[in-house]
Amino acid sequence: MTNKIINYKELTEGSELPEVKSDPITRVQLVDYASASGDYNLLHFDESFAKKTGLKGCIAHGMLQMAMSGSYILNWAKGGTLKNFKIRYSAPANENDILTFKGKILKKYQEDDEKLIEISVLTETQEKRITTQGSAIISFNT
Amino acid sequence: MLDRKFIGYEFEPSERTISRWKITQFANAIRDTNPIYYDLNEAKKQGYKDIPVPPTFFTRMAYSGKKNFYATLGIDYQKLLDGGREFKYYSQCVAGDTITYQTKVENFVEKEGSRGKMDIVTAITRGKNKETNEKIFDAIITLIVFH
Repeated sequence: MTNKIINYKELTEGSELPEVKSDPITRVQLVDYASASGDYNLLHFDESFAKKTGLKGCIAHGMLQMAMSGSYILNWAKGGTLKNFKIRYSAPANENDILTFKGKILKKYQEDDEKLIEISVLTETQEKRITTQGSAIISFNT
Repeated sequence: MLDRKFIGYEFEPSERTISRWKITQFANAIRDTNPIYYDLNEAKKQGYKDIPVPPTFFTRMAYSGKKNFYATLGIDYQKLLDGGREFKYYSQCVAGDTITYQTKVENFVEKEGSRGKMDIVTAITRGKNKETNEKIFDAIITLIVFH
């Protein structure tokens, strides 16, 4: 985690956010997230159930990936305020996958004197399988 | 095909008071080590009145009311795909806030894809601070329901 406050003036369209890798998504984390979110779908922590539905094993909650992307964005955008955040799911992430978070500044603009950027974000696994794609709008007063 | 009479349908409002413990539990589950989610002094040092919520914390509040969202709309889980989420943020929510929230079915749109006909369902849950009446968030859910 860095503590560097973003200087809005230094942000440029097309530049990439530093990549961040997660720890492996363990079964314990999937149970922790089920409990924290109230989403107790068995696909996420009961391997025999997941296999019965045709999956190879447990898969991560889509919303867990979105939540981790949210942390990635806020950890980078020090001094900024998140205004909008959206994600769509491309493929499931499996138990023990390591996610790489990537982002890029799509647009830098002002609206009603508010200094804004729009970024794209995605998550991919160690096999380069993209699991989520999305975007966020962040405002800055620095 | 889903019954079009549910376009515009509003579920009952709900309310929930946000506790520090729930926020900390959520932050731990997503393995976010930022001290503002664990340490009140650190949160205050960074300008928050209390422990703030992480951006997707409101996922717990995606549906309001006592009635089950899917059963009410007649959505069969076997034909359902989650199409994604969007959050809009208006003001920061912190521990101790009481949020009132309400879900409204925005639209059903019929599309045809490689797996045949489907309805794209959008529903929006709006959350506001009960005391100040300030808007806090909109959570928009997109669901794909095959015919």
